Amino acid sequence: MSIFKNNISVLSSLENNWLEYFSLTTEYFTNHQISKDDFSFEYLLNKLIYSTNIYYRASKLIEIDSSIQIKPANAVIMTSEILNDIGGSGYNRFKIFCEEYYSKQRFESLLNGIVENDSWDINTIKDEFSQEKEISFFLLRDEINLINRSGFVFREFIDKKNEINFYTKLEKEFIIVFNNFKDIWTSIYKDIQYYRHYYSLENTDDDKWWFEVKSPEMAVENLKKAIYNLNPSKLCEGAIITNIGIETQDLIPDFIKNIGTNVTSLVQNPKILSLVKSFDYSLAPGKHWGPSENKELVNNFTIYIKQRQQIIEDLIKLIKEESEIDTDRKKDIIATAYFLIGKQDDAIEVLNESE
Amino acid sequence: MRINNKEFKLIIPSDIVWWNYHVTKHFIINDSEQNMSNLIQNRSVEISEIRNKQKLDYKCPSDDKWVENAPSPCPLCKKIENCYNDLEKLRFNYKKFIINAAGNDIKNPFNAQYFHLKYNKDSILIIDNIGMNLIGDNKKSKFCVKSMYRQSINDADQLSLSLGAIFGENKIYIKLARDSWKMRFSRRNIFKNVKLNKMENWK
Repeated sequence: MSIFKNNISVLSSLENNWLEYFSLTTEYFTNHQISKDDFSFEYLLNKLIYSTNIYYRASKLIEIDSSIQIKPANAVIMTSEILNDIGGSGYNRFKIFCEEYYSKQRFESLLNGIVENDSWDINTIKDEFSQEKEISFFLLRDEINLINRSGFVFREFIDKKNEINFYTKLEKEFIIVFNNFKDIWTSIYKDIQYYRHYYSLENTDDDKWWFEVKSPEMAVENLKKAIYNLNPSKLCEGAIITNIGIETQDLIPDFIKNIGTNVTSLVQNPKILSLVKSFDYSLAPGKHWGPSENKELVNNFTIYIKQRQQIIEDLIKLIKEESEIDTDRKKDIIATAYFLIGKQDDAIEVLNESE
Repeated sequence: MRINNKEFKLIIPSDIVWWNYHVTKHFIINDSEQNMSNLIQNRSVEISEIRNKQKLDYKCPSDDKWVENAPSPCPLCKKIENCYNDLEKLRFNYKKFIINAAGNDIKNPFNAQYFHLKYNKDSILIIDNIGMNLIGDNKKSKFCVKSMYRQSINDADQLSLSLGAIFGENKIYIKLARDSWKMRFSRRNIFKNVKLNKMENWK
């Protein structure tokens, strides 16, 4: 269900969005009751700039009709007038606000707060309340990007002040942090799609980063390709990659089947496949997949394979030598043990053994 | 109460656990984000006192355990009745806000009726004139309250600069609620049969 019936409905919604921020900002601009240490006006001004920018950006792609009362060009002029009216001290306050609002430290801390939260995990099925923060933080990148974009209202304002370097530096640092948390953006892929529609975005050079966020399904497809390119000796690493896919979507059965059918040439050794299937891939609460977790998993998996096979083979030896166990029972246990470590032929041989 | 020309009986839970959980979560734990305490008088002193008592005397978990989706610690608490009594004033206000939101929607309808696929229930949302989100199950002619809260101003999280004025601004909470629900309703795997009323409030 989309709340927007057509492009004009999108534009009309952005017009209303701008109008709301414009009314509030002008109201606060003339409100002398706000204390000097309160940055509410600057917060609103920043929102007004963003609402102007998204309205203006969308209007480049949508033909405006008579249902639009405030033309985007006029919205730009009105926002520009407020910017010119704030004066030097007003601008300095706004700069102080931006320096903290768009600081990489704050952004990093906000995103770390999400991944360190016990309830957050990329494969958690999100309900309607749990993604508010993630999408708000995602949109911050759009805000700062449009602040710096040529031809947009704030860029023209700061070009005149020769202040562009301050904001481009903020954006560059911001993007580095943004790119370090790709799992978060994948987890809100559907909401990002909603905003792409709401903002009437196209995959242009300026906005391509919006389209670079991978859906969980795309992430799994990429992992499958990676698996196909593995050779048998690297299957352990394949399992790690598989694991990330599993963590991304609940696809364990299908995904393992794909390894078995599409990549059969890689899984010559059923023992390994069996171990791949039975390994515990879960992470400690609060952790999320990253390079160190992957490395840890590779180590654990290697140890697991060695230990598990060795333990079971030792047990088989012990059981074979055990004289007090009933022969049929002994055969069952040994055959099951062989199955567990992937030695199906040995298992069948044991079962077929005559007394 | 009337919603979209249909009469509903407002059912507010009487369960102690429900009250303790929701009042603690929205009035106390999330107050820095939802600023619901701004709407009542003498709130800050009382809220910090109650919170201290919950933590020290009732061994209530720390605030970070109260994050979204955390299981409610209230059902396992042995001091639930003491806590319920301590929350009396806040409960009174929470109830008052529920009744106001439910009763006033008829004046300027700002609601949505939808089917929630995850809970398999017909539901109703009301956004009121102070930005409260009142959510209830739609059971024939009954509106069974599930929760009420205000949207958080997420993008201002961890900002050391004061935003006192905007945190007290009802219009912002109304706007946040509308924008947020419009996005949520686009999730077809969770919501279906969404009916918005009245449309001009949703634009």
